[in-house]
Amino acid sequence: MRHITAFFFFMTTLVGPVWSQQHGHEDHAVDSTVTKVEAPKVFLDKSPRIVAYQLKRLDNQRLLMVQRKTDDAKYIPVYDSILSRIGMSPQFRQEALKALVTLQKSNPVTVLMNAIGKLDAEDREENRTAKQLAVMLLGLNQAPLKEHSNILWEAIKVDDDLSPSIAAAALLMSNQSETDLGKLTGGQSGQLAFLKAITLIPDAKQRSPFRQRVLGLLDRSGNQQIKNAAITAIGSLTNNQAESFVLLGPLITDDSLRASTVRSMLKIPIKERDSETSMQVTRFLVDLAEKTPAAERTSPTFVDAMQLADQLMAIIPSDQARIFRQRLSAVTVRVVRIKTVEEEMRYDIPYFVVEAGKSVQIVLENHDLMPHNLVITVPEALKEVAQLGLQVGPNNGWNGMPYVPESDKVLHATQMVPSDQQITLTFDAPTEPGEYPYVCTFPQHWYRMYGVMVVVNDLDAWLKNPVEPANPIGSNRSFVQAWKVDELKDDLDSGMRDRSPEIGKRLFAEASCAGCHKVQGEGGVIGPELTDVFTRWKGDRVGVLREVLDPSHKVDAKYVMQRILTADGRTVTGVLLAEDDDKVTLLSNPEAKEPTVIAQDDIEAMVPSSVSMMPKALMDQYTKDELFEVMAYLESVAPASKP
Amino acid sequence: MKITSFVVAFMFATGLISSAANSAEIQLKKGDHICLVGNALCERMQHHNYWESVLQQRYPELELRVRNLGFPGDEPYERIRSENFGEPDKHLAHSQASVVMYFFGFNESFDGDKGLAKFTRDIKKLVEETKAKDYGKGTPQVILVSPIAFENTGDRNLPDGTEHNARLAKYTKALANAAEEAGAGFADVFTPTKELFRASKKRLTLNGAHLNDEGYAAFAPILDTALFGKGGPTSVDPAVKAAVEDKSFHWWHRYRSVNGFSIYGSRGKAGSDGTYNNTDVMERERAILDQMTANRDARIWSLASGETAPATIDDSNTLPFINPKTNVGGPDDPNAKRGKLGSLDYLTAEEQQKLFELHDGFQIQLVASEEQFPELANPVALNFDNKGRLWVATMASYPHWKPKTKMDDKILIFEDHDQDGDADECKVFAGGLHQPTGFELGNGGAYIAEQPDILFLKDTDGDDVADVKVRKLFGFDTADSHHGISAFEWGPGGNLYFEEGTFKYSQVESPYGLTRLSEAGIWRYHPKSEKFGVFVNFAFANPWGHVFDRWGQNFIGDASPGNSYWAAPLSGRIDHPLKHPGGSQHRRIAKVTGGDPNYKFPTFYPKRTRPLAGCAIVSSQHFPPEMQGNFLVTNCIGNRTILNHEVREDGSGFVGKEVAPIVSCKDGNFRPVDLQIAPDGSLYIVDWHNALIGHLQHNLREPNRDHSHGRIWRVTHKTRPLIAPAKIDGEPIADLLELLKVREDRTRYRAKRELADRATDEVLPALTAWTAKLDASDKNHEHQLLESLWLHQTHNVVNRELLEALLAAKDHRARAAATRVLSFWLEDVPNHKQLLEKCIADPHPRVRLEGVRAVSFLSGDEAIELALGVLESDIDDYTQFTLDETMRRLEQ
Repeated sequence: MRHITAFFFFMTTLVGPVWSQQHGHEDHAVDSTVTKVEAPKVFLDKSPRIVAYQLKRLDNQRLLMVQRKTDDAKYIPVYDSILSRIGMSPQFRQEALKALVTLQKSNPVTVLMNAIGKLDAEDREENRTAKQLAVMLLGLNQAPLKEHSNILWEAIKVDDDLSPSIAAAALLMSNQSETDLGKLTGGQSGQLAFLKAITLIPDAKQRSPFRQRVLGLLDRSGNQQIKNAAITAIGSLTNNQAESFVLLGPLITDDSLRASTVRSMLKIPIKERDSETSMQVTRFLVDLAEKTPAAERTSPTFVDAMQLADQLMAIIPSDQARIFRQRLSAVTVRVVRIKTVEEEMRYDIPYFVVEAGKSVQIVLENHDLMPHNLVITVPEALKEVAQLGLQVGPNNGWNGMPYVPESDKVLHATQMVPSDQQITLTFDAPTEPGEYPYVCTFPQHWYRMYGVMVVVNDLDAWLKNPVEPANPIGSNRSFVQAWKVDELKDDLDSGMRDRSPEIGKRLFAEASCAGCHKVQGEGGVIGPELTDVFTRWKGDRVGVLREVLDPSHKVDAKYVMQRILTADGRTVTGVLLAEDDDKVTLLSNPEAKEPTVIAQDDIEAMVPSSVSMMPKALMDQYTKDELFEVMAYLESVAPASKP
Repeated sequence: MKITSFVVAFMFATGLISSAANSAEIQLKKGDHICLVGNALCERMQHHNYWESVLQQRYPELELRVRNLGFPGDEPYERIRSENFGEPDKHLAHSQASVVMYFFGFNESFDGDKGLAKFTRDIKKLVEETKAKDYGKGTPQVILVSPIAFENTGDRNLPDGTEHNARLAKYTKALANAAEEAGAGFADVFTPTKELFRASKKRLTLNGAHLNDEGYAAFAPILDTALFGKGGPTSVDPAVKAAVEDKSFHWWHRYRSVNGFSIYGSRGKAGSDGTYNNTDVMERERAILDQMTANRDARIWSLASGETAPATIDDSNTLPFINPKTNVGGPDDPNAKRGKLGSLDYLTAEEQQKLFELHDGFQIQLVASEEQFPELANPVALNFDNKGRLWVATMASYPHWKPKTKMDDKILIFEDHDQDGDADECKVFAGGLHQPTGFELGNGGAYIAEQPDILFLKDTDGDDVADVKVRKLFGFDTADSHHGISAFEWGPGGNLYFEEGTFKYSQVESPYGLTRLSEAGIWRYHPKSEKFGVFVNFAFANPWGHVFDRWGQNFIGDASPGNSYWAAPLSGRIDHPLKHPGGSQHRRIAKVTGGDPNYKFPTFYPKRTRPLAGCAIVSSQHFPPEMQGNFLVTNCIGNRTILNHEVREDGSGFVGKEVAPIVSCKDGNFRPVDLQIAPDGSLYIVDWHNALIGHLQHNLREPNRDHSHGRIWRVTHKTRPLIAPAKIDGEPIADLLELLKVREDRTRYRAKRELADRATDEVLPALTAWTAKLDASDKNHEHQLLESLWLHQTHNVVNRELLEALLAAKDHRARAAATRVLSFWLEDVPNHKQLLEKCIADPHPRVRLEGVRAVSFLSGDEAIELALGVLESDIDDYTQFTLDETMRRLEQ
């Protein structure tokens, strides 16, 4: 099975659920031509309470219109607000960080830890914002982290849910001595911070060195909270996962540790799962399922556990698996959980296997910031269904489901699931074996967001001899690497030499870039034209690369995705084309045939998003060479670009 | 027919319009249906039926049907209505309009030059759109009628109209041009009414802007000539006018039905008896009214053509009524289960009296009941006049007058000749009313709610029977009869406050411009200056309680949820369509009105049981000292009780705590709905006395709704002496001023009400002298000064010296009250910014809050800066709310 490493990349977020994201790449300052907003008057010379109150009343757009300079301490509250504001683009956070360092004659570690300290871990949006500031902190060089480690050590002692773990993560990244690490994990609060810090470290490789210390804490601690944190940390360690699996197996019997244990075991690749442990865990989980009252069988913990049992049955001997499966089917429906991956526009599993005619329940969990659905089609009908879905649009779908066509090619479908919500789809699998695609029919998502439901007559027989299904859109690409700017920038100049624009142009289309962006007159309009992207960046290749790999870093105001909540409860999103007193005209998606027009009277709220609509990881199925080809192509079309 | 010689010549002479402006022809055909659409000028023509009489007399052979679709405050494209009232086209189609006369321009004119372009655009668009319609009789003919001029009444309290008329002339010209360009007929009534007002010795308007009855009589030939040229009738035939009035009455009650939300709105689906719901039953009644209206058209034609008509009208051709079954009783009656239902076996007052339980030391007696006074059916509100007599409003027809019956709800006066508390005589001050949900005395008469109007009725010959009836204020919504205007209360500074419930969308015109209010609030009206507006814009359910304390702080009770609020934070300015957040209906409408849908504005004590149909503050030496200042609440569902709460100051505001009730009754039909401390210091309670209580819970025509019972009760202390009632009616001004030193709130209230009626040029000198002589060493000195300030406000006379003295008073309650007065005088106090700056930096949080509240009536960055100053001090939740809402207003 193809496995895609799960990793978290903390991103700019929005208030509330978001339908879609949009990006722009232009090197412009915030462009306010789209929504006319007057610059607010903020009395910066008045007392801090007044300034804070006024700034708090401003939305992000207006906040960015407040005058700010780095030559007067009165601007500190403005930068403070920008740095820790929910939904602010990273470019402005970076600007604010730099300004605060100057104005406060401080250093980035102090400034960031101060900002993090003011955020409320209990509030979902503030928590996300803190994680974004953590990314900025952990992205600093080792040197400043080390130099200001006293700040971090102080933050470890703070009594809240965010600061200690983030500070601990920064300490771990700053190459502290073993003695200092020992000091860190000397007490319970330090131990907890350390364990939570492990999951905050962005790069799995950097987590690995702390494995023994994590295992030690799991072994030694008598504290449930610490044990659970250790189990979660183990789930994020990618070295020696076979050992992790064996270690976690027995913990599943402990009621207070089971939830985290199941989640961590699910993260361990199947090939690393030992069959003996799998057997014991499966036996326990099947017993557990039979003992669990019906009312509790829909809890997330139970669904997780059944997902794990289901996966493990592919590992244990098939005659045993058959018995377990029969026992399970007596008490619970076969559950397949599919999660969307935040900002990557894909489902977390590429395929699953079900037995013909048997009941199956799909739980679709949407962890992305935009809505997604899941539509199961007859074999080889993915593309056709996606295109029919586009034709029916958001309002005329089958049973009122947006973008779901009424068609005999469609077997089952869900509603659009908003961000951070889930939906359950229960049905009997087709009686005819085959490879049935599933796809998100939101416009343009089908390029990346799909998988296959493999229907077989005998699941155990299949498991003995698994055959990976063919890619349902005919792509033969698979995950290569989660590309990061820092890993590529040093090779950029040499890598872009002697590339062929024709290849780059073909890849530009294949990677679906052309669906949204025009180059030399061809392509979509929902994103900015890229013909002159290198010109706008004054030939800065790293800048352009960041736009490709990290689309939300900077979003041009003209291409900000507007999210409109209508009075009757619908949500419509798109790029704003025009707005007057009566109506708002939006382009909702790259393939929309005509703009959506909404009467102002019907609009309850219009919220601009600071997150790009462009998915991240668009290039993660492409090699480094291919990425350079695309870059070179863009450079070649730019008027008066750098040679 | 053309707009012919007289008017055209007149307009040329005045140079107001060019000849091109009136080229469209107005040509009436036989069988035309003329619909009048537009603002109050138009709407009120159906209450002063001169013009239609002239029209019918001029063209009896054309058999014209006139339907008035006017609404005060209507503009071409902004006409707010309650839920599902129906678009203008629906009503034009219902009446099969073939001629549409539009009356616009008055309200719009307050926007002056900057509003002209939009107005012109809108009017042209409206004419073009109307001409493209067919309402059942082909392409309609469209006529634009200009606004009338503003009358200079000579009253120093009112605008003289110079600025108004300059604006109105421009808007008239814009209408003329639009008519020319879009192809509509045009009637200039501005020019001739300006001349009319100049030449008339009699006052022809209520307030400068709106015609009175004589004004409409003079207006009829002017409009007739402007439309059809000279040659119209020279007088109005009283028989024709009476017939037109009768037709208009039936049409009025059809088009402006008082329970819209329970007929075509959401609650139309309620009240089902298994077969018929409210919509079924009440739309049938509207259909019957349509038929009765049509029957009266025919009668008008015969009378107008000089024929005789039978005295009675044969309405036997109408549809039958639909009579729903009862939903009362039976084993599963949900209202019985929830304790809402009383008993259909009504007790006598004597039997009922045995079932009262009283607070220690108190007793209760019957003042009046339906047994002795059959007029006392469904009493809903009470007041005491300046002679000390009890007045009661009754609504026997509640919830809705039924067509073909006599409309006869009443205002009663009870006299107690021997002063023993039992009423001896009942006088009918006014009958023929419909749903008088509230009333207040003043100006020598009574202001009476009769949605969509507030009437002013007056007895001029001393027989205690009203002989003058004026529709004084208009444009209130009719969506629900029981959410109608109620809880009238004079503020200490002479404003009349009254309240309106949810589902309502009102537009009220005044000489100062239009005010819109949707979904409940409290209105304010100053009868001298005619200044009108919203006092509290907040999503109540139905705010039936409102009372001021000794220092002018007020409290509002919201009936349905039983919530009691301190008013100051809620009473800053915020304009339609926004509202202050946190009322019981806020969540439903927050998407329009703004604010966090989940926010709940705090009540000043935790509510234990709902509802709250009326409230009062104990201020009577007949009551024991420990009860002074207590907040009393009538509870007519949860407990059939007068709830009792102690109140104390807390931070900027107040907190209450429930203590033992004053009185409760085991008779489930005891429905206390209003209460007031009487001139002798006892407590009077209105008992609606009905087994059924809900408006929503039963069909509007539920057969068991009671239309005959009603009782008034009086609670006295067993041992404490009564107060000798103060002499007020007709007393000398100097004596009345002395009454402002009295401890009882209601005595001062009535004395001020009497002083408000006296001539300003007599009151002011006396007041100045009285104020100068006040004893500065009296511990009540600052309160007496405050009463003086309030009386200045009552007489619409600004006194900056006194204001500033009180803004610097020692007692924070005086400073807070003076700050409230300043909020009404901002335009007349040039240094208001400096004064407010001090208020906002005051050591007491209530003064700071009142200061921030006052800033909501200003605008601009300076105002923002002023309000933000409050953050220099500690702020509590009420102040934070007031600041947030003031900021929202300044950002609106």
